[in-house]
Amino acid sequence: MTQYTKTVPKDPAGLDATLKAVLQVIIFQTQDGDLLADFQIKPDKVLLIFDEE
Amino acid sequence: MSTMSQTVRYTAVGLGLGLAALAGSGCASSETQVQKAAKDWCMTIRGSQVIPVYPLTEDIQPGDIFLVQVPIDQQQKLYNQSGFLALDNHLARLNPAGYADFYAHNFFAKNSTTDLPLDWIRPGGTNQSWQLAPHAAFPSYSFSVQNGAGLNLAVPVEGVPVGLSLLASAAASGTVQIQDAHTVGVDTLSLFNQVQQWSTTNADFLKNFGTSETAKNHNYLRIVTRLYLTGRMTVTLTDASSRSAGADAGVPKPVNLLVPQLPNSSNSPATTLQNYTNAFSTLSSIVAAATDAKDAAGNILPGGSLRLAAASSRSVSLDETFNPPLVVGYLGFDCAILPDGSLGAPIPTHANLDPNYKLNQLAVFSSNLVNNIDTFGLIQKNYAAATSAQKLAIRQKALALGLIPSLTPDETFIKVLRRSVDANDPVMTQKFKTLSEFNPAP
Repeated sequence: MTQYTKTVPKDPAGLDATLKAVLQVIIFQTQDGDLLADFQIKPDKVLLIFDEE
Repeated sequence: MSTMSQTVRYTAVGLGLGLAALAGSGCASSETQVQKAAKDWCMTIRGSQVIPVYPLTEDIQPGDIFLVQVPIDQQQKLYNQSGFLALDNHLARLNPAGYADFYAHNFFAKNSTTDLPLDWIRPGGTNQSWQLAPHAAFPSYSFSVQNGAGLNLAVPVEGVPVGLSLLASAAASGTVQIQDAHTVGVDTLSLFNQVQQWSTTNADFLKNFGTSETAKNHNYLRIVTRLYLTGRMTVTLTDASSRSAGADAGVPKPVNLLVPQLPNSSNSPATTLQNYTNAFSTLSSIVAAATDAKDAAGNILPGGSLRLAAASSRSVSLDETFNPPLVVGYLGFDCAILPDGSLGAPIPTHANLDPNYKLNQLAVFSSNLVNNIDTFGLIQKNYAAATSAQKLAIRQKALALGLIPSLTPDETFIKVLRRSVDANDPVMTQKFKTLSEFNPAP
């Protein structure tokens, strides 16, 4: 199983821009299929964890 | 003649008293005074979007690597509290290899063999330190002094306390001009590549400081990319007190030497000019005596040399020269140290220190992400249209650029390549652009 991470900086002014960027990264990274995406929310960023089964 | 000698003696005593009073005012809390001087000065430099160096030094170069073991949010607090960041853990000094390309088309002569920064610090056969380097300019900074209230701008130059002593005033306003400023720098990309090579060699050492990406706090390497130096500072002080002439009590002000005498039958304009010139010379010798710090062996101690530039009864202007020039500030980037001793993406130091940067960081990230996805789409399209031999060449190029960990088979290449897309990493972004422009032979 291959695991890798990506980070998206958080926008302190609101969620909308951060959420859009998070979705863009998830959609882009999962285009080849067979990929699980998890996330952790940090004070200054969102950590995306991808698992390839 | 004896009156002049007496006046000179008084002014010398007055200067000594003034300096002692300034020094004495810090005795109650000398540490606080020093911290205040550091912060005030550094806030001045920070106003010019440069990270201050304190104390001023000659011994810092592009390519210097420092270990930073303070979390970013704590660094931001320290930066606001102290005004500067201590560069106390100096790990290594790299000699940037990118100078030649960086300056080849502007500051180096054709076929030059200039070795930076050595050839700018000590140009062969001259005493013109840094004169060949690109010039820089800083705005002048204003400040004021209130008796008992301390400086609202403390600066680490001798001109301010000496000038205050000459004025012996309860209140003064002034300006500091950073002059003869020069800069030297190198591009982040080439230096980051060198730092990565250095980190590979020293991974065992760096592992001691590595933290996982999910850790709350990280250790960083801070790498200096650009320096700003000053060769001269001019301090101008103007007496802002409202007392009238002749109301001084105690020791007379040194600058009173410069109060012009009204012409009379024996006092022609030429004599007045001569009196002024004599008084100016006297003040200059006082300034020189006050700053001729010598050690026990009689050697002049290091530091700037102070010279009286102009004076009147209510103002004094002093030039402090630093030869060779001293570094007042720098720019650089930070890299997080990862558990295996490898390094994270380079983030500009000033961005790390600005809590509001995250807003801009997301905007930059989103913009980069769109560009990265477009670039990746182009690579994917080119790859799909390529012959088997061309596909192999593209995969080999991707491997050489470090975009894939090994020479992956055709069917999984795009999937593996996609993992490397990272809008936070300008180096990877550049590598993807390089791959998108790669044209394998048909």
